[in-house]
Amino acid sequence: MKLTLSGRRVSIEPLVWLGIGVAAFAAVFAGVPSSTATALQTPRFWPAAAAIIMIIAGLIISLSALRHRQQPAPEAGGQPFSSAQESHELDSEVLRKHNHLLLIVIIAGYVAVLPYLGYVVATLVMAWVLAWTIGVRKVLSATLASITYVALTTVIFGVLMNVPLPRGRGPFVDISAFFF
Amino acid sequence: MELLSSVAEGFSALLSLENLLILFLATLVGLLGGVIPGVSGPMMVVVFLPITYAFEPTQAFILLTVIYAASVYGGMVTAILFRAPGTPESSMTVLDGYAMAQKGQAGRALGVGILASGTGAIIATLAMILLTPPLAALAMNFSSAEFFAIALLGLSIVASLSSGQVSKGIFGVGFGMLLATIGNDPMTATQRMTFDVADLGAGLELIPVMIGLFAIPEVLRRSRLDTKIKFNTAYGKVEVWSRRNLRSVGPTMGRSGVIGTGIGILPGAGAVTAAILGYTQAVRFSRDKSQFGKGDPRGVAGPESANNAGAVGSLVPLFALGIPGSATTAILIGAFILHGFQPGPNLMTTQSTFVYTIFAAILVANILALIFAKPLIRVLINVLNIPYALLGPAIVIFCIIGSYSLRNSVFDVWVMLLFGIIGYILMKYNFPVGTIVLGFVLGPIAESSFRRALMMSGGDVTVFFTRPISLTIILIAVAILVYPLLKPLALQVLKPKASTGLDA
Repeated sequence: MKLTLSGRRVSIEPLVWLGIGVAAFAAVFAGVPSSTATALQTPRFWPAAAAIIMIIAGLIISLSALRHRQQPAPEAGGQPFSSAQESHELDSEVLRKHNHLLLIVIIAGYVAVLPYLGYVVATLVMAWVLAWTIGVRKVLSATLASITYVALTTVIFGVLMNVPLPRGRGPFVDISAFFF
Repeated sequence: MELLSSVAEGFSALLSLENLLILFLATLVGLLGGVIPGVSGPMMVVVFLPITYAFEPTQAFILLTVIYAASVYGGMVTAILFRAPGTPESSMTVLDGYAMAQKGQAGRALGVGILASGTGAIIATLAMILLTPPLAALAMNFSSAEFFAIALLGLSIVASLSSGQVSKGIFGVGFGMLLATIGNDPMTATQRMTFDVADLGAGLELIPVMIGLFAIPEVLRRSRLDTKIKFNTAYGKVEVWSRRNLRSVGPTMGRSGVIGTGIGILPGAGAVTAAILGYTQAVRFSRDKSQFGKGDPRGVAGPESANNAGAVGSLVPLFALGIPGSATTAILIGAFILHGFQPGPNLMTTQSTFVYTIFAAILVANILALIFAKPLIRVLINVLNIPYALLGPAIVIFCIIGSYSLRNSVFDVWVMLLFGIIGYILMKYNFPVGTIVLGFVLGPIAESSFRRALMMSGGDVTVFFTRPISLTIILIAVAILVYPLLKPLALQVLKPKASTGLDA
């Protein structure tokens, strides 16, 4: 997260943590009613303490970023295969830059229609679309995989574990009733 | 004598067809989870947790703890063959394991890894059986003040979960604690931060939050990558029980197993630290150090024995005191609470058969892994070539159904998706998400104990500092927390003095 400030690129990431901490503190005061109990025993004390921990940690992050701004970036050392290094290496293989956003939209769309279409139909469609989006390019493979996943999860959760999976509305209730 | 009869009870409870089947499947699933890069131990435990809703508690925890133990076991396979550790605990194995593979000794490296992993884990399991009961017995006399101190000690392990980013880790703990306070106040039933959203009345459930933070971000990240990469899976003959292996790495794996167990038991150290120490001790005790880093089998045996021992060892504070030693054990605490158990000293006395059955299951799973890992390696490696495009949707479906089936609520699925997005953003900034789970799990325990202790002392805050055990634990917690923050400052202060000394 970088901003151009007076011709210099400045990272605002450290400030974001502090901002989230302050917002959390505000949310505690807005969302927890005050009480007449002793300060340490009020319902507000513990969430406020958590928000203060976030603010202090945010401050430390911001101050240490400010201190290191003039210093050259430290060499990658210490642990031989840090997660940052690994993540960087893997990200160099990125093929579909915005695919994660597409996935989020697909899952969000699925959750939105789940109560209407029911588990079987909605999951069948989502599994197929997800497989295609992530990289399956054979219609038969994507179809067989989605049918297998839906069948397995319906049997395990809907039949064996008696989880009341969403049955949908209107004609979809009959389709769901056919399976569980 | 009492210990022996409890262990015997545990083994006899384990010996049912259902339990053994679950144990075998969990070993296989854990090994698979360890082998596939991008499918970590915590992710496997989280994804399989929903299946346990319908299980008996004993079976549920056989499944979850064995998956956890076996996933550390499997992590070395890709570390040796492809220089890509399947789990963070295997990162030290890369140094000599991959070098051996480069020299055409991949089969031997895998064999040494299997032998050392099994040995380390078995040493740690035996230590766990011996050490957990006395530790729990000691904790039986604790009051709310001590339990608050223990929860604080648990929260102080944040440094070890932070991968060097301690400030972000502390932020994560605060964030987790804050999230856990949403919903009803445990003492007064006041609604906290629900903002008139009815679904928030009972608070956020741990499972959707954990699934969102651990499983979804990895699927989102992998969806952007080339999913058709094929691995070269040729590795030659795997050599496990050979005289050559036993002679060359026997002492190393025994020593590293003991070191790893000790490190795992310490709150805040964890299996990754154990692996690093296991490797450095293997180097230190060797007469010929020249081959380390170039393909020395002891460089595989040291970290593999230590990391498996560390993973099992971290279960000791979980069972005896109810505090986690790693992200996965924090998830396991969440699972215990979900099934109506509070891990800690009371569990050892009230549910001793349950606890010893889990101990027996871990021991048997490690023996099974030691025996079957060699024939299973071929199957496990072939799984690597299943395209992620087919695995990804399966993981997402399990995540969705796991979040939904907890309360049969679509709202929880939205929560999972929201935390999946948050987790993905945090992953981009190398944020240690395990610390959020730590705060979420231990925050409510700390709050209840804190407020109960204050109520019993009539609001006198010195109750935490006048009881010797509570004071000692609080001081240890503060030392663990402050040390990584002060270490760089201390080094900075000492550095100029040292250089002046040299100049003079």
